[in-house]
Amino acid sequence: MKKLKVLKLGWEFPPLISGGLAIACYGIAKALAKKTDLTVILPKASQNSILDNANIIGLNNIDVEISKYQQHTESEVYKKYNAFAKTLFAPGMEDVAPYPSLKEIKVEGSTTTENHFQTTSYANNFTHTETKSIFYGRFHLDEMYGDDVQQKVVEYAEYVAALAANLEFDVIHVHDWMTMLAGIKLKHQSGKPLVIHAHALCYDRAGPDARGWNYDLEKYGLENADAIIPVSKYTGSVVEKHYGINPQKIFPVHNGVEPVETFSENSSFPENLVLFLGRITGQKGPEFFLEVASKVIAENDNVRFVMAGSGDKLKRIIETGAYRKVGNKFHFTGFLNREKVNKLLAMADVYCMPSVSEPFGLSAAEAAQFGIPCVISKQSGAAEVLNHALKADFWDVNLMAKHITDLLEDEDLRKRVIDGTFEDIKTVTWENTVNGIMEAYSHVLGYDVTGGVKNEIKDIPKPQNISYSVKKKVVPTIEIQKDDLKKIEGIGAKIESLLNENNIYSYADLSNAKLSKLKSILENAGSRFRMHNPKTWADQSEMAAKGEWDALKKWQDELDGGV
Amino acid sequence: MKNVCLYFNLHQPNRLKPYTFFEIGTDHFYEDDKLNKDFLDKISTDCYLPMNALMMENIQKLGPDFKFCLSISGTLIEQMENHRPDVLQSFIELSKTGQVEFIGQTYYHSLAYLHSVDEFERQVKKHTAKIEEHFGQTPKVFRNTGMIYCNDLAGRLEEWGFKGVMAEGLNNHLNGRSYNHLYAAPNVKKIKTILKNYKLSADFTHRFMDKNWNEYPLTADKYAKWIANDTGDCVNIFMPYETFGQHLSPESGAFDFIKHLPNELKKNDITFLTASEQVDKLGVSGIYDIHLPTSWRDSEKDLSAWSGNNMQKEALQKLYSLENTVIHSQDPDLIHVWSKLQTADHFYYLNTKIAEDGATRDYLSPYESPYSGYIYYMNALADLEITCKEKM
Repeated sequence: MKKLKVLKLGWEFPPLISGGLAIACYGIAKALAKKTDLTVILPKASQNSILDNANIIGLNNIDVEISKYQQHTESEVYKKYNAFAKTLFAPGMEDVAPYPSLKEIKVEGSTTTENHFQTTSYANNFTHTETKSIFYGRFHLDEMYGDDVQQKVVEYAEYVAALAANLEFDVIHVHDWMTMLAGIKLKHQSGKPLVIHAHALCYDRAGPDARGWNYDLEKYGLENADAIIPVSKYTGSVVEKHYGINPQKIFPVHNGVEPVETFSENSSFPENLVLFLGRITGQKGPEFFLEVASKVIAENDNVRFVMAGSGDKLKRIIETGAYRKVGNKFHFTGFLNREKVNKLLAMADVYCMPSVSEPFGLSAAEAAQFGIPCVISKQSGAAEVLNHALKADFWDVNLMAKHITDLLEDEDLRKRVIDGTFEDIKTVTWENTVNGIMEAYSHVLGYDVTGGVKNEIKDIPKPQNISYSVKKKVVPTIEIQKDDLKKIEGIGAKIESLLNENNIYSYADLSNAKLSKLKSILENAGSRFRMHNPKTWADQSEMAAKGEWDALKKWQDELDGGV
Repeated sequence: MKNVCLYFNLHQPNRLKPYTFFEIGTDHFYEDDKLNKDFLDKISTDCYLPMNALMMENIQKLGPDFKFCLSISGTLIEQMENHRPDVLQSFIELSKTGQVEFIGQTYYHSLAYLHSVDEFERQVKKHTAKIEEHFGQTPKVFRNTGMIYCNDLAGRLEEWGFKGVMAEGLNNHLNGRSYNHLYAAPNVKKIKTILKNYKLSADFTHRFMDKNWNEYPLTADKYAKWIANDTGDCVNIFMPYETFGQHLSPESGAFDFIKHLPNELKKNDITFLTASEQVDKLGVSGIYDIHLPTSWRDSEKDLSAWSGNNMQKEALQKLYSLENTVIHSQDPDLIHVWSKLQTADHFYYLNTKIAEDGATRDYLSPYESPYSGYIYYMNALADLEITCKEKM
């Protein structure tokens, strides 16, 4: 059987990585190349962007000749495209903020007339200026995004269309908004079906109220696509409900997860560690993480939180953490390289991903591979895959705090979550992703190209020294006489540790403790301890200290809850 | 005007290294030794040594008439003991002339007065002992970190045997009176309050290099005349010693200015007084009533430079919450480490002010931003907290 010819348009691709997109595009391309005849066009490819069985073209490496806007007025589509092509600034442009912004793009021979920046209203006051680019030569991309990213997107479309005029393909497969324009142009030029892979949308980056050219471009692209592959059902519902797209052409397919090399490392401090990993932007829910942390810290002295990453909300979160008085237990690392990220994963006891809107959430799957139990928001693709992770709505900080506390205190639960999520990720492979993609292709082509494959289960090696138990509580180093205070009616394990924290370890200590002190210990420990009445504890422990167990037993039978 | 009192404060903090999250629990040394030594070397070359030589020259030239005051923080003295005994020796040489009075302060140049009176007392006594050890004098006049002052402070210092205390002379509290007099807090019997003449002090420290100032350039001759023509009992010119060579570069002519100033003052028949002499000779002209602490820092002249934002408040609160554990440990190393973290500079670096005050912070801070300073400080504090927990 003749192999299906796929033309894939990408933006980020290893070794150019700014986030999860490059990793996903690579994973898809690698698995897709095994089943199809694959060509990938990238704005920039290096010697290292090599893939077996695939033809990877970097626009920085070849000369392309383009005549200038020759057929733009011929159809409705081109009219709209042309309008976008001339738009250098539109309200809402700041929505691209999550991407590193900088400055110059150098397209050889291109000059641009003055930009009229308008930042005030969201009205339809697009500013038009002519780009007088002479599109001949090599596409240069210094910065993957940057302030003039729209112009790059338009020029990329021109280059791709010119280049693809001589290529043969059955289906066009593009990734996210940077390549949508090129996909549409190609679809109309070639008549081939367009498949859009949605990794992240303006909705995720900037919230449900974000509008502007970025949203418009996405909506335009999604409307023009013959099929859309969101990376989760969650993102599929965003495509349907926030972009008004017919659900019949939406085919959610989860990303795969590469098995990562995992290891375990003891942290150098005695407390348990809860980890947040990601850009510190609204999308990732850092405020919620901080709020959850404040709640857990208020109840549990034996835990630290660390927020790894950088972003536009970092300063605000630092100040809020200080305001909430958790500065000594809530830490920041700034941006970390991969090695340090792995070190953190190896140290962490709980992974928390409270994203407000997370199309997939690769980091949660990675954490699962490290044998870390995850607490994740329901507004994430990962929640569909990690069935055994503990979940809560991103705003439900009480439930999230409870999940974290439970995972730190309940060893059985911990083990269930770790083992369960580990099983969950076994089906999360790029091969299965491609199977899903082939189904979407079949839909747009009108004939079956799946070959009737079933999803595979991959055996990912489990970390050797996976630790199910959280670190031991800090106990004083001095040798102390310790009795089992739980033998006193009314005292359970929690209260025993509370008493221990207040230097009451033995029956003798307890029998000497003043009632007012015991009451204040319970009082300070929070509302759930206040109902305990320590009135008889001193007398009970006096008997215990003397070894009068029978008499104590008899008395205890008469007591109810120590009262 | 008949009298002038020249007072210089000297201090260097033990700046922290970029102490990251990964260091917590493993690395118990928080300071950037190399950076601190480099700073000390540079300031010694740029300021301390040439200034000491200049002041010695003035003492020799003008004889016993020329006097001035110095206040050196304990942290700076320790740095000199460890790295630059030669610089320390040059201060000792100055003290041997008998024409330099050493003023008391907190050993760690801290904000202890605002957070723990017990700790404040320990540091005042520790500083006194250090000054006695090297300079053979017992400070009788006190200046608090950042010139932080209020009635209660004067009262406590009086109890501990000080006869004078320095403060910023603030117009909104003077109510039309001049800062060129001695005052007293309403709650004291004997201790006198010496007010900084901020106008004349700032004419030199802030406007000396300002080419847009209508008095530019400022010469020693002109400045001496201004002092001579000012009314009151004594003009108190207070400034950091580091003004020379650090804030004002050698090219600015600042050294030349201070070289000639004493002689110009003498020409105008002005008498040099030390702070103690001033307190002994001059009477109190009224009550200077300060309920809430004032300072000489930033445009607000309050505590906002060190504790104006939540990061500063949190760092201070968490630091002083360790006091009991640290002190009860009776472990001198732990106490010393905790105490050095009290140095006011650590909190000053965390202020998030903008404009001129923000620019001053950026100029002095070793960190890229107040936020990274806070992150490093709190990480170090977390490590110290763990150490404390182990001690408990």
